Amino acid sequence: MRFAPMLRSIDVLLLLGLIVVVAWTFKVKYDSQNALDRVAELERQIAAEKVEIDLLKSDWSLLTNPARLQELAERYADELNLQDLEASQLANEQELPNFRLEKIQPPSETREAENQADKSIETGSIPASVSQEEQ
Amino acid sequence: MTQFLQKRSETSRIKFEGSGKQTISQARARMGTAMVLVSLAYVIIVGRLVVLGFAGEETLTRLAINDISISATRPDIRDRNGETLATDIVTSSLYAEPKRIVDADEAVEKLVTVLPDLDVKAVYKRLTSKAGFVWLKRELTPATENKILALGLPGIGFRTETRRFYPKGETASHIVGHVNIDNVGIAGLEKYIDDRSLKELRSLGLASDKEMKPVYLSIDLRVQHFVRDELAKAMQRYNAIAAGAVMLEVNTGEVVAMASLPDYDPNYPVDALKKDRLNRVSAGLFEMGSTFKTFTTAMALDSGQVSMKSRFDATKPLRIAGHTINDFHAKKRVLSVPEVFIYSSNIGTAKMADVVGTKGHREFLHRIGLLSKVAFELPEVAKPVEPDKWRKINSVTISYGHGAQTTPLQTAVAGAALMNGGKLIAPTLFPRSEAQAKQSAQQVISSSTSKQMRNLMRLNVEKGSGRRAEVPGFRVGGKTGTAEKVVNGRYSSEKRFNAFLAAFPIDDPKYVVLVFIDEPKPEKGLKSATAGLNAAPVVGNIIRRAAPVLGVRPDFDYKVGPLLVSN
Repeated sequence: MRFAPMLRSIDVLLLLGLIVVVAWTFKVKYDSQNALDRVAELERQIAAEKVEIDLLKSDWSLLTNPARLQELAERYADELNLQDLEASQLANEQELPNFRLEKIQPPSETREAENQADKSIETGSIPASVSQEEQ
Repeated sequence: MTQFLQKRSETSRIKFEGSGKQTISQARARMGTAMVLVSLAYVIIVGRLVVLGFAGEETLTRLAINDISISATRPDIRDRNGETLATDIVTSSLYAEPKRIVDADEAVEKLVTVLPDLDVKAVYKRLTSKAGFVWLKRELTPATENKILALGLPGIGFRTETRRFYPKGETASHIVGHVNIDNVGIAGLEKYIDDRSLKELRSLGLASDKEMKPVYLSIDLRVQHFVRDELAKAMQRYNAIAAGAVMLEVNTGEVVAMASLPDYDPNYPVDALKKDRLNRVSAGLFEMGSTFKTFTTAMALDSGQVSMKSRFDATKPLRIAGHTINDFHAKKRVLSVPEVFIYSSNIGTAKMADVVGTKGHREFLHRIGLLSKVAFELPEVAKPVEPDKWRKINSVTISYGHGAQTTPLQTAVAGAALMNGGKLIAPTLFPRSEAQAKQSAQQVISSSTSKQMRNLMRLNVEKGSGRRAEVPGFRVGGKTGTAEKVVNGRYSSEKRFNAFLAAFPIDDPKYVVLVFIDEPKPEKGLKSATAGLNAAPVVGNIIRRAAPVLGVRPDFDYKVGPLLVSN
C-alpha cells in the first residue's frame, strides 16, 4: 500500500474537479435552456407582430385602393372643389415663368423678431405672472 | 521509475520476482491508462462546452427553431410601384366545445361584448347542443382574438388559418388570378407562380425555409384602375356585352395595364368560371377588323413596292371569286396611301395586299406574331385561327381584318412593333429593362417604315376616323376597327366588334393602347355604333388620365397633317 496516500490525494482532487465540472455543466445547460426559451418566446412575439403588420398592410392597401379613392373623390368633389387635371396644367420647372424670389429671413432672426413683436403687443389677457400665482 | 521499468523489461524474460509484485505493477499500468482516458473524456467535454459557448447566436437560434415546419404561405404579388395586389393574411376562427362550457348564458353574454353582431339565439343553441365541436365565428382579427381570450371563458378556442386576400378586388383580377380552397393557384399569375416554383422545389429536392420574396409585376395599379374604370363606364354607356383593353410599354414589352370585362372578385371566385368572365385580352379570339389595315399598310410600305405617294383606285367595288368588296365610307376616287388609311378604304387596302401577294401576306402576319400563339406568362392564352390554305380571297379579306382570328393582346404587341422602330418584343407581366428586351427583340419591319406608320396613325387622329381619341398635348395616334361579327355563319351588320389601336406620344411612342368593345349599341341620340364613336373616346379617356401619371410630357404644337396631305 505504498501508493495509497498519493492515490487518495488524486482521488480527492479528481472528485473536486468532477463536482466543479458537473456544477458548471449544469449551469451552462440551465442557462442555455433559459436562453432557448427566451429565443422561442421572442420568435413567437415576432411572428405575432408580423401577422399584425401583415394585417395592417392589407388594411392599408384596401383603404388605398384607387377604386375606393376615386369614389371618395367623386363624392366630395363639390365640397372640396376638386377638378380633373388637364394636360395644360402640367409643366416642369424650366417651363415656368421666371419668379423673383423674395429674401426669406433665417429662422433665428424671425423668432427673435416674433418675440419682440409679442412683447410689444398689448392684449386684454391676464399677464403670465398673475396666472402662475393663481395656480 | 526508469530503473523499475528497466528491471521489469529485464525480468520479463527471466522470471525472478513473485507473482504478487507482478500483479501490483500490472494494476498500476492499467489505472494509469484509465486515468488518462477519463481525463481525456473530460477535456473533450470541456472543449465542446467552450465551443458551444462561443458559438454565434445564429447557430443557437437555428438549433432552437429547426423543428418548426414550413407553413403553406404564398408570395405577395405587388405592382411595379410596390402596391399589394395579393397577400396572405392569418385569420383565426372561434370554436367551442359545448361539453366543456360551464355556463352558456354567461359565455354568450360575454362574447356579445366583443362581437356585437353575433347572432345570440343561434350561438346559445349551439353552445347548449350535444355536439363535441361547433364553429362560432370565422375569420377574426388578432385584436378580436386577444379580447376574446381576455374574457377567460372555458371551452372555447381558436384555430388559425392562412387565407389569400386580394385588397384591390376586381381591379386586376384577370392578371393576378386566384387560388382554390387549398391555397393552390388555379388561374392567372397565381397559377404561373405555382407552376414555376413547383419546378424549382423539385429541382432542389425539397422546400427551402427562406421567407418568400414578393413578386413584382410590370402592372401600374393606377393605370390599371383607369383602364378598368373607363371600360366599365363604356360597357354601360354603349350597353356592350364585353369590353377589354391592354396597354404596353413599346420598348420593353411590359404590360402596364390589362383588363377584360365582365370580370370577377378574386376574393369570391365563384363567378370566375362563368363563360363570359374569361380574359378576352389574351384568351379571346376575334376578327380584329380595320385595325388590321395598319399591318397591311406597314407590310406594303416595308416591301418597298408601295410608297406614301402610291395611289390606289377605289372608284369601283372590288369583285373577287364571287364576292364584292365595298368601302364603308366610300370616296369613289383614286386614293393615296394616307387617304386609304384615314378613310379606312377596304378596296385600297386589299389592293395594297395584292401588291405583296398571298404568300408574302401570310409570311408577314406570321413574322409580326399575329397568327402564332404568343409567349406569355398567363396560362389563359388562345391560339390564333387562320385559313388552312390561303387563297387570294383570304388575303383580300384578311387585309382588312376579316377571315383570321387573333387575340387583342397580340394585336397590341404587333402594334407596338410598328411603333417602336420595328422591333417585335414578346409581352411580359414582369418588370423588364430596355436592354433585356433588346436581346430577344426581332426586327420585323424597317425603322423608316415604323416612322411612316407613326405619321399615318397620327394623321388618322388629326383628320380621320380616330378624331375622338385626341387628347390635347399627348399626341395620340391610332386606327379604328369596326368588324362585323359572324352570326349563324354570316356576317351581321347588327353585331359588331369595335377596336381602337393607339400609341402615344406618337412622335416618340412610349405606350400602345388597344381597346375593344364587344357588341356595342348606339349611344342615345346616335344612329350608329362604330369604333370611331365608342372605342376611340375610351382610348382618349384612358390616355387623358394615364399619361400624366406615366410621366408623359405634354406638347401642344405637334402636327403631322401638313406634312402628309396637301389637299
